Formats: sequence, structure tokens, C-alpha cells
Amino acid sequence: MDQREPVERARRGDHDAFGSLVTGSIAQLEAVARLILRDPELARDVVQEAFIRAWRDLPGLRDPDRFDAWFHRLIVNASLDAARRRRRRPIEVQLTPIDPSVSPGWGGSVADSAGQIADRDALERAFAFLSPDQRAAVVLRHYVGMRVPEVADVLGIPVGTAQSRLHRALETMRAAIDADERVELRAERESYA
Amino acid sequence: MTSTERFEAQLEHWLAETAQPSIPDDLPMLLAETARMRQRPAWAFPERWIPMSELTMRRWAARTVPWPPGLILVALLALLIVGLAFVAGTAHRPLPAPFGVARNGFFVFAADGDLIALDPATGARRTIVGGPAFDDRPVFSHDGTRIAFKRTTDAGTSIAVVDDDGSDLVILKVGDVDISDHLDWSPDDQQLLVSAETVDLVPYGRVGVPARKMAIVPTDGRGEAREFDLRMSAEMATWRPPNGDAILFRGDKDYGHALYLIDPAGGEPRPITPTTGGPYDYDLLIGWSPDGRSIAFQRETGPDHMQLWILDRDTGQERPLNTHSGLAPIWSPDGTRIAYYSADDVWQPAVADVDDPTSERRLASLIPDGWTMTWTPDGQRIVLSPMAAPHLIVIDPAGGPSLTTHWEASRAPSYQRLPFEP
Repeated sequence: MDQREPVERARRGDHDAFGSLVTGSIAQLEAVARLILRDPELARDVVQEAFIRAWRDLPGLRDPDRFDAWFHRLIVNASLDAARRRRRRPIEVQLTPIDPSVSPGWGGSVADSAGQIADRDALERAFAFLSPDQRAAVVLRHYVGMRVPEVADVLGIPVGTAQSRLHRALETMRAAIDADERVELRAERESYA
Repeated sequence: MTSTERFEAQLEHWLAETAQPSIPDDLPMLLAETARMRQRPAWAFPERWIPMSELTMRRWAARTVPWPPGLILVALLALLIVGLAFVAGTAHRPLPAPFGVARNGFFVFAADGDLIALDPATGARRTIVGGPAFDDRPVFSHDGTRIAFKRTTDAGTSIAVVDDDGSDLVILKVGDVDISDHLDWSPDDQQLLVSAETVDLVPYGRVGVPARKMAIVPTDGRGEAREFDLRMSAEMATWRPPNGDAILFRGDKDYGHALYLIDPAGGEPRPITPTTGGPYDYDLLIGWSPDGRSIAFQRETGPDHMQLWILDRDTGQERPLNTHSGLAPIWSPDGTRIAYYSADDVWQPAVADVDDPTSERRLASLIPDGWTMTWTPDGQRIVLSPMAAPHLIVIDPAGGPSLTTHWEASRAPSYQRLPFEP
């Protein structure tokens, strides 16, 4: 959908146009904040802040075609700032119920539903190992589906830095999952001994 | 499928399942709240005209060329000689009084992430703070010997102070106040007042808006920042001349704006103007007269009619500067005139005598998208940095011709104040 016209109208103060723009993207942006922060309550605050900032600062957007990237940048920056300032607050992790009919499995490596839960937990733990900066890069690339230059643009970093940040993030996650598996294997062996 | 591709597919699937995007329950409330808020006008965004991200990227992309070892030795020796000469020269360096008219020194501005010193008398230009960090918004101390500025690196944003030759870099301990966008030196130059936008929210109707904190930090780098407990958003905080016994700021809470005073030691802020709902009331610039007796500010007096006001601090009486529409007042160093943007139809720099409401003089021809104005310390010129063009414009407040310079600056310059020759 061509966003230029509603963005232009919203920039000129048309609040209805702004409403239609943000309603179409707010769900995904809220998910982005929640994934980066792993804290639904804090993510809600961040989305609220970015939402207000988007309305107030929209006249400053130079290129209407970049509205999506600009709004993502607002959300990601607000999330990273919130992560940096986060006090010791309990983190509420939202568990997703498993529906085997819609879960296609994990690339064939694990077949049964118990295995799916194990893999899901392993990914959850591995994702928790990442820094907020790394999580932001991973979420933009692998959840939002941005290309690496777009990730770099939203994060305000050079493309090479985005590439290496993504690479290190995935390496960290894989190393964490490997370590997890070794611990489980040892526990299994000990139970047979 | 490689193991990496398989892992990425698993990750994407897990992220999609975990995210479960849904429209937030409070979206209708947020829409209702923002419908009541006015947007910031386009002219309030310097970044709209100056693509700061592009400047930042250019800075990061810049390559540094390693110096040959011999050259480093020569450079070190030269620096030592210059340093010794500087120490000898500054041992008895006379200093100007912190407020009032002073002799013009050089001015400093940020360009491409470096701090540039430029002598307006000769046009000589030199980089006084360079390097990979992105430095911005330099502000000279009252005595003209040091410069505070905002520094951004991969590690975040901080406030730094250097001597006027770029030496003796000190990074200040500002803690959470790390997005500093307004710096004001205390009259004795021992402390900096920092107001900064943060991710914390303050109440604004039923939602929160980004708060702007206010803190004081010692300029020698030896102490932590002390943050004020204001329970509102604070902007444009500035010390009262001549001795800094109070701090003025624009407070923003629950759709209401007012000017407040607070004791630098802390305590409760005291409103000194009516609380109003116009989003640009008391906005852009507020300022003390050099003697600390009066405050100039802008406040809407009718639809699209923003007027300049002067508040007598001792009596609490307010009076309009004149009948014209005006924005962004700034006092001349001697306190007798105020420069501002006359905004009846189009924006145009203007000057009026403080005590004569009929004295408005519009200066120069129309300058599109004009922005920050700065008086030279001697009060003889006004330097204007337009948003739409990188070159500084020098204006004669007496009505003489204006001059568009070849000096490129990303934002307003800050002038060094020097004592007059004995």
C-alpha cells in the first residue's frame, strides 16, 4: 500500500490519517518491543512513548516513503533506551501455548511435541543470552524480515556493523543451545548410570 | 539446507510464534490523547534540514591515516612547546565578568561531528576537537576558557568539557542524564545545568510523554550529577544572573506549561507565570536579562498570535514587549535590546528596545527557515544559523547590511567572551 499520501496528510496534522497509519503497524511494533525487552509491561510503556513521539514529531520526517523505517527506529531506540535504564524489575515471560496443528516442527530435527517444547525452551534461553542491541538486530532481521542494510538504517549503524552484530548474535545463540544440549546429555547419562 | 539456514528457519519460526502481534488494548485511548496534542511544527526540527544520521555515518566511514613514528615525535614536541607557552600565557589570563558586554573572541561550532573554532576577524578556521566521536552542541563557559559539548560514541552519549584550545578533555559523570540537549554553565563556571530528554514518562492526561530531566554536574569531572526531583518535564533550564541563586525552567505537566524557579540546592519548584495549555507557550527560548531582574518568553495571546512578554522578577508584573507576533526572544549582552523572530506574516529577524514597545526593527531581508540567533559578546552583531542552509549569516542589529558567510555550521555557534583591553 502506498503510504506517501496518508503520511503527508498526517504530517500536516490530519490525525485520522495518522490513526490509519499506526493502526496498520502498531501490532507488529508492539511485538518488536516485547521481543527486544522480554518484558510486556515495559514494552507497553515503550510503545506508548513511541506512539506519542511519532505524532508529535511526524512533521520532522523528511521523506514520507521512510515512515515505516522511521517508526521502527522510534520503537527500537525507545526499547534500547528502556533496556539500558531498566531497574531490577521482575521479567514476565509470556509463554505461548502449543497448538500442534499450526506448529510445523523445527526443520525436521525434532519430531514429537515434547521435543518441540525442548527446542522452544532452548531458543528462549539462548535468546535471553543476547544483549538488547543484538536482540534488536535479530528481531528486525528474522522477525520483521528486513534486509541487513535496512536493519543498519533502523539501528543507525553501518551495514558492516549490523552484519557482524547479527553474525555474533546467532553464534551466541547456537553456542548457548549447544551448551544446553551437553548439559541435558550429561544428566541423561547420569540417570542411566 | 545448511545447519545455519536450518537454525535461522527455526529462529524465525520461534520468533513468529512468540511475538503473537496484537493491537494494544490502549490504542483507542492513545489515539484519543494524541488527537488532543498539537504536533511540533516542522521548523522545530533541525534534523529535518540537516540529516544528522548522514553526518554520523560519514563520520564513522572516515578513515584515519596512521602517522609515521618520526612525525609523532615531532608533533609531541610541538605540543609540549605549545602547552608550555599556553601555561605561561594563561597564568595571568584576565577573565571577563560572567554577564554583560565582553570582547569578541573566536566562536566554536560543530561540523561533521568535530568542533571547529573560527576567528570571525580573520576567517581562520581550525579543528579543536576531532576524532572518531561525534561531537555536537558546543557551549562556551562564561569566562571563555572552556567549552562543554555533547559527545556520542558507540558506548552512548555523554557530556564533555575541554579547554578553549581543545586540550584537557574531561568526560562528566551524568549517569542517566545521557541525552543532553541543553547545557548552561553556572555563573562561576564550576557546574553545568543539563536538561535532557529521557525515556521516563511524566503524566500527560491519561498517558505519559517523554520526560526531560534536569541535573547539575560539576565541570571538573570529579563529582556525580545531581538530579532534581521535579515530577514534571523540565526544559531550557538556565541559571539566574549574576550569582546563580535560582534556576529558571519551563515545566510541562498534564497539558499545562509554566515557567518555574527552583533553588539550585533543591526543594520545590515555584511557578512564576500562569499555567497555560498552549503547546508553544514559554517554548523555544526563555532567558534572563543579564542583570537577572527580568525574564523574556513567548506566550500565545490569541489564535496564531504568539507574543513576547517580559516578566519583572521582583514585582511579578508581566508586560508585552510589543504588539507584534514574535518568537524566540534573546537578550542583548547589555540587556537593553531583545532579538527575536517577528512572525506577523513571515518569519524575519527583528530587534526591539526593551523599554520601547514601538521600537521594532526588522532586520535583513526575509530569511527562510531561520533558526537560532546568537548575539556577539560585544552586542554589535547577531549571528544566525538558518535551518535550510549550512552557512551562518551575520546581521547588523542597527539595520546595516547582513552578510552570508562561507562558514558552515550544523548548529548555532557559541562565542568566546574575552575581557576588554585595559
